[in-house]
Amino acid sequence: MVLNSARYLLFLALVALVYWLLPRPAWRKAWLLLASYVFYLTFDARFALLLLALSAAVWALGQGIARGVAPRRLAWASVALNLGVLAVFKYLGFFVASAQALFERAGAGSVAPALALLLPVGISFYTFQGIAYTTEIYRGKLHAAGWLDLALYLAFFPKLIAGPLTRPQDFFRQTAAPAARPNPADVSAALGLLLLGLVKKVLIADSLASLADTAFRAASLASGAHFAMPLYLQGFYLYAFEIYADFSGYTDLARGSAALLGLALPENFRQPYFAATIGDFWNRWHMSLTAWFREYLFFPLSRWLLTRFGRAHAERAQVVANLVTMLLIGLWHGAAWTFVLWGLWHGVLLTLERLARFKPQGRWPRLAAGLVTFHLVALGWVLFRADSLAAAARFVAGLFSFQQMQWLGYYAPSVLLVAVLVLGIDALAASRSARLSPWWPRLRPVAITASVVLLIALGLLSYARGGEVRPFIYGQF
Amino acid sequence: MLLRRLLAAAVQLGLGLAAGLLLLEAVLRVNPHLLLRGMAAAAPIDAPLTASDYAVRFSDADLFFWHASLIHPIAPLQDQVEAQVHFETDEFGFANSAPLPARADIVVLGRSFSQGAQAADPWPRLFSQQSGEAVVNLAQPASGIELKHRYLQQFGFPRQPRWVVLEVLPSMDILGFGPDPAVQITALPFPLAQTLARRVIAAQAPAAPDYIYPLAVHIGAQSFNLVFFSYYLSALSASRADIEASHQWASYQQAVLDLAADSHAHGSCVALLYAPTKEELFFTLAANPQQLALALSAGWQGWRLASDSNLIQDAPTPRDPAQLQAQAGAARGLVADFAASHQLVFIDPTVAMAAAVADGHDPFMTYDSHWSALGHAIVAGQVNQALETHPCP
Repeated sequence: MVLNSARYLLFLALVALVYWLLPRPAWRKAWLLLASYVFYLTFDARFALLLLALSAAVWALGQGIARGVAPRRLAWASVALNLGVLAVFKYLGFFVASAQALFERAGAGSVAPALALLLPVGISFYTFQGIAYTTEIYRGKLHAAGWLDLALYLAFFPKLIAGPLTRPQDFFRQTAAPAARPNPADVSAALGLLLLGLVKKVLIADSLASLADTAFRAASLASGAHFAMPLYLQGFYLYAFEIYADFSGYTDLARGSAALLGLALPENFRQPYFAATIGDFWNRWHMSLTAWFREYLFFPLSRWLLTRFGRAHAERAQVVANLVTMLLIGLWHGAAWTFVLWGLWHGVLLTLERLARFKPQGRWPRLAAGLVTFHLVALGWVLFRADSLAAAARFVAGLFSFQQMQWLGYYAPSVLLVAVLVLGIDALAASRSARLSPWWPRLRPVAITASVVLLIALGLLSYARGGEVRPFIYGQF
Repeated sequence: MLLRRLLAAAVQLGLGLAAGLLLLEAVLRVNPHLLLRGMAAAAPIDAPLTASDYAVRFSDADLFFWHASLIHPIAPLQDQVEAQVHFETDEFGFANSAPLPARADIVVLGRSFSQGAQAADPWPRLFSQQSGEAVVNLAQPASGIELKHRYLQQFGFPRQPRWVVLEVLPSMDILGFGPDPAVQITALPFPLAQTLARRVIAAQAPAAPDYIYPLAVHIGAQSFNLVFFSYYLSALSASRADIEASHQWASYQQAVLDLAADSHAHGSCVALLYAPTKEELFFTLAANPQQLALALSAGWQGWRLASDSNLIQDAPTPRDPAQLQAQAGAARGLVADFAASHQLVFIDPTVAMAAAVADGHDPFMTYDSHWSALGHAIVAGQVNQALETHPCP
């Protein structure tokens, strides 16, 4: 059950209705846990069993840590368990296949059978939250939660599939003292987020920006370089907008769903394509993941490197911590060398920025730097999206082939339309257009009517075509 | 105060509706793959750069889609595979292998017959293999003459073709002639409602069956089990005189002449490829037309010339198959004469198809309205022969 389906919206309405009718907080938590598992069962019953077992283990280890019985060992055991589950289901096949390729290249022949384990939906997100929970207890910043609280924290359906990653303290604080009844202003904001999420996903990502698929399909053909350069330009720009609209649309739907239940999930995006530097970009893109890696990997690793090698090597330690963190962020996204290289690409860019102490000041330098940053990020997305390193190389070659430029007029309108929509929504969100702000209360009903008309028409067309609902890109991680 | 508020709300609603529809128009223009088949689109509605392999069985036929209640259900064991199709689309969504060549000898403009999504080897591919010519197939189901002209200008002329082969299917191209809607959204509600209604109807329990197909027809010593498409049958009800006097025919002729003039200006010659339908072929060939009488019981409507010189489909179903037989070749003769009078090459596979029928072979698919593998092979051969004998300067 994906969040952009009519089935999900009906499910959410039912869950919210029953939730607000239940009088006691404990009953509400139990209801949300039940709803979350029903939601997860719609993907695969085996996934739900794995999540249940992992929740039980993390809860038991958390209790042990809180009681002070060998807390360090138990904390490591919990972290290892979460990482182990992630490694087995997400990375084992990749590492076995890579080792296999290496052995075969060395002439050693086949060394192990090929592995093709089913990847449980949302595993990258709930295992990371399991690690956050354990670490916070171990650091003494969090009391061990009750079974119901922890199980709900890991399984809460709006954020189960693709986040946002939520700090356990923030989540438990809200579930401990839920509002008695829904606040009309919050409900209105929640519905606004749901509508915005649907517009980003259905209109921008699926109906327009998905045209980027053609260029990536072209690059996956051996003859990719013979296609027109404007086709690759279309794919280059549209995919940058597609992944943003898709993922931020998911986040809006997740946050809107949670808000309808009186719970606030953290923001995940803050107009990332308005960033002036790569460092600035990572402060605005997938903020909850960046915060997780900063808190649980970058800072501890930096501290360890400084302790080990001394302050004299502080800059080198930072560079190493940076590269390792970004490489692992890349690997977190998927078990493929394209993701590893994507992470490394960002790591190198961040390092170069840091070494050059690059901080553009003033309106025009920031604008110019922002344009360069956007193109560097978009180039990274080519690695992220391509089927293989060879396909990514063909795509980049196609971007600079200067072949058949006469097709520019054919491919440009889609890019312009998507750019206007995405950047327009972000400009509004950032209230950068101060002149428009006083008009917004009057324009809001117009925007809502237009969005509803569009969503109904596109939904009907999709239903009549018999097309399947396009899943979220981050749903596969 | 209340009136002012109501007025403001109405204005906001109106603006919202207008903005939504305008944006929808823009979305459908930049991504026509969202549209339904049968809608006039500014670009092909097949997704670009895709490849799919599928088997076409009897039960996949388009006539089950149109006339499910008239055709005997097929038992699973009798549901034969008629074609194993490998369907590829180029970077624009046309039925070619990608990437499209920078230069092409022949550009094909047509509808579903020439696109060949039901055929293992559609005629443009076969013809290319036989002749060694580079063929770019710009055929698109449901594309009218204006859309074909636009495809030619946008995707064909840049490749500097020597020949432009234009498929002519009178029942759709001439009788059903209508200018493309200037705005896609105006065309949206009807196909959408039609498709949705069809889904609802398909989900309902079938009404009392009134199966008339497959219909056994004897042609000479040969016997065929045929399923007809009522729309193509109805096209046979228009007489040559009515077609000739109609606005549709005048508009179509003008559109073809414009396309031909444009092609000549780009250094290309034009050939008209006549697309015979199963209905036209078998009604013409049947020695005893009464054996086809059952096909006329389906309750479709015939065509007639209205007082404003438009051909309209509101005449009663003709009851006499001999009458349809007498008119079956009307459109064909008209198009042939038109081609001759304007020095356009006319390729007509009807005679070759009739010869195949006389030998007991069917150039059409059994339950589908399109050409079979044999039909495509005949068309490819006829095109090859015609273009060889009519050298384009």
